[in-house]
Amino acid sequence: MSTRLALGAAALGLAAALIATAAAPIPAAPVPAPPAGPLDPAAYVLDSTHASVVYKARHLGISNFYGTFDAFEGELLFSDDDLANSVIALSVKADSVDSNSAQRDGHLKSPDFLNATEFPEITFVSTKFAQGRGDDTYAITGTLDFRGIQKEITVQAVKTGEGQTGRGTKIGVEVIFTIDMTDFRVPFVSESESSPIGREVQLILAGEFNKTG
Amino acid sequence: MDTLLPFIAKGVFAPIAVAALVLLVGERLSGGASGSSRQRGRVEARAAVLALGLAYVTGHMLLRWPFPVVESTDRIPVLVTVALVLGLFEGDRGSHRGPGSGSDRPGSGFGSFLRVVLAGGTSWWFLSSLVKHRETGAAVGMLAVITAIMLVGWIAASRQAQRTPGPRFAATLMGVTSLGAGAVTLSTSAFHGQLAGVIAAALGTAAVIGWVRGTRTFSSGTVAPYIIATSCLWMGGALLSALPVASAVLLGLAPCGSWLEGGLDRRRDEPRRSAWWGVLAPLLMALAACVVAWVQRPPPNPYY
Repeated sequence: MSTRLALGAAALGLAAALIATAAAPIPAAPVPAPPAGPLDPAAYVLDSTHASVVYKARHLGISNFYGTFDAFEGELLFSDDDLANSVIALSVKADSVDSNSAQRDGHLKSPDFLNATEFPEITFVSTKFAQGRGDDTYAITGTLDFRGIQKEITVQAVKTGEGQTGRGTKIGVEVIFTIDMTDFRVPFVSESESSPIGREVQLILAGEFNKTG
Repeated sequence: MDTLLPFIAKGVFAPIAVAALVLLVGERLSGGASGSSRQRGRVEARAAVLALGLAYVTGHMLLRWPFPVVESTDRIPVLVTVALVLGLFEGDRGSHRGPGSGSDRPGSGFGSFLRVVLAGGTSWWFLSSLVKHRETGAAVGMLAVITAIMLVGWIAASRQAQRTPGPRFAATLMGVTSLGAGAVTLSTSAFHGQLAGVIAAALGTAAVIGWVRGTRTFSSGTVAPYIIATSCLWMGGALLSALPVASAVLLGLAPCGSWLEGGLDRRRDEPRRSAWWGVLAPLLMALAACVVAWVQRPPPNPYY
């Protein structure tokens, strides 16, 4: 009997320790800071008041549906002459999704799609910048962290403009992510043609980055 | 319709097939009417636990492969498998002791201790990615309340399963789980609703086979995988989706409604009425959970 009690007390102690460990507060994950390269490309931060994140999804195989994410952050280290040391890091708040319907937003935030409570941020950190096919176009490879799953993907980016403005030096960027939802195990998306939501969803970030250094 | 068919096949037909197969094999192995009462009871109790546990795990895996375990919902099949083992242990104990033996009273031994560990471990692991963002005190308090609700529901359902081990309680819990599936789906988490549907399909199979074959298709041990699976779904609905907390609590405590039957049973002049209340009270609690979810559902957009 005393052995059982000791075993019980030990197990309860272990359970309490596990709970306390799990419950220890941790700071919210910041946008990962891109490392500085030897040629020191210029540093930029996303001007979220002059930027948009739009998603495009296929619905029932019939129409294209567009919605937005309203909260996001981004940082960029960039130089046309030093792509090897250019880095982009983006972070989108999953619960800021807006599809013009409160009911649908609730569904999109649920574990059926974004699982926003459990995985509040969708992040992308580049590992490689390469020149694209056209002028000012780039193929950026990096790690997308979505729903707790990390996958390496390559996204297409365009430098839409740059210059000195009354608000400092800015660079315009448009990044297009094409995300295969089945890679991230979204329950309501399947490989079958009868999937209610198309397997591929595009996430487009377009906006201005302000030069900071 | 072709959109729904794969979901129905994986989430309803597959669990029905698995539950039916396990229960019928269990009946066969128990020796049917020719076996000794004790032997028959033990095998049927084990088969009942395995039927619900395996049917759920099969349905879940077909609807969405849970490995590698990344998010909370992926953890349910693992937890149900652990509960299944505990259920087999409890089912054995239940088959040795007769109804009303008191083996399900809280604090009555090692079995109760294992329930506390599993319920506490379930609430912690299922919500681990959520509680790590909260302050320690708040997280421990939340987990303690959830664990307490799970244990109260577990004890109530277990005692009722011992009192009425036949198909009637399985049918009652099927009704509760179906209404719970509706409440969760109303609260914008269709996947959790589908998973609740898997449990309802398995329980419905147990009820039908129990009635048709006259076998014990729901035992005290079956409550372990039932409570673990449904608690995860109601928790997930409330904390990861938009299920009102009141609905989740009502669903979690719905098995306690069957206690009314035990209380009213002592009034010997009204046994029939008490039996009905034992069935109706859990269903009314689940219905109330649905009504709350309906009232508090997100407003529809007038443009759609």
